[in-house]
Amino acid sequence: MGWDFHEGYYDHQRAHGFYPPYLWLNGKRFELEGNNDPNCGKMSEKGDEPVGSGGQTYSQNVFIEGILAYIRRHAASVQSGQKDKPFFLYHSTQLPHGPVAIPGLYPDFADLPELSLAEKKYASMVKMLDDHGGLIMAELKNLGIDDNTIVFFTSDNGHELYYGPKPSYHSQTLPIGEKANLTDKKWCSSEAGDVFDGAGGRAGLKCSGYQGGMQCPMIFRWPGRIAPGTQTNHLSAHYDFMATLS
Amino acid sequence: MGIGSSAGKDSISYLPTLIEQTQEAEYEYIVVNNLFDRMGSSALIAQDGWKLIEIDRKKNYFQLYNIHDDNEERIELSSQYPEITSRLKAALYWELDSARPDL
Repeated sequence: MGWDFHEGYYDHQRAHGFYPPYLWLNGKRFELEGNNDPNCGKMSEKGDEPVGSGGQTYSQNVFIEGILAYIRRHAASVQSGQKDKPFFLYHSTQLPHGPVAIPGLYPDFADLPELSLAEKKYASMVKMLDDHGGLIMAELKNLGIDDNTIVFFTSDNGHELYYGPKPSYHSQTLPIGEKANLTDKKWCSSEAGDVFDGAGGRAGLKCSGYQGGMQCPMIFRWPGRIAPGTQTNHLSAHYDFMATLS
Repeated sequence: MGIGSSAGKDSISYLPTLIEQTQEAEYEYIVVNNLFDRMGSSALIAQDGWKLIEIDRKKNYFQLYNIHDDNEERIELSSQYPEITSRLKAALYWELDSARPDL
């Protein structure tokens, strides 16, 4: 098997920064303009660095261009009869993984006084993820292949904080200064001052044993096969994904 | 993609569920082998939503929830369902203590 095409990072450490000096395209290194930090512009856990710091070329912007170009090229080669195979595209986006970094704040959040800088940056990362999902869908529609393409979306763990009350998770304290416990006062994003309630009321964060750390969304769009709004209680984990796809 | 799945202790395709056919292959449970312990550690999630969380193995402290009924894990049920707790505990440690817990 293997991949016909690859664009991205080769390792997990560098992928914690959004401004890599270089990335890889089909085994060949290419430079990203204006990115000079060997740590790829990795920010602090506080995420309070100014917007746009880290470098000039944001990795996700490189990836979305590469993705849309790949889909267009594939559709063109099918149309011209050069290829007759379907394509499988896997985009393991860094968004909205921290430490938070974004080239610009979305206007939706830029002027909200109730959000800290790190929260505005995080919200903008989530918004960009949503927008880029929209760009991919729009490209599929534009090429007339969206009804014949399965699109799925998932994440690799529960919620994690790179803004707001992360220190209170580490110290296991609640906003009123009281110690959290594991019975009737569990630390959960809805009650600990996480303005986005990222775990949706569930207890814990990434790496905890509670659902806040391990329950992930999984959404499939498959027109004609999966009715909109269908839900399932089928018990699965990410390692089932390959078996399903193959 | 037309490639068969490999044999052994393996993952399960949920394609039948996706295309609204009968899902014959199901797990009894899935195990999360977690090396962290800030808020609970490893966990086992069984069919019907039963979930056992290892809080502190040395102190023999475990919690039981039903995440179908109580997804926020607010109602702890181990003393109410001691048999389920001990069955899931045995299953969790059979997995975690096996020679290759990753398999």
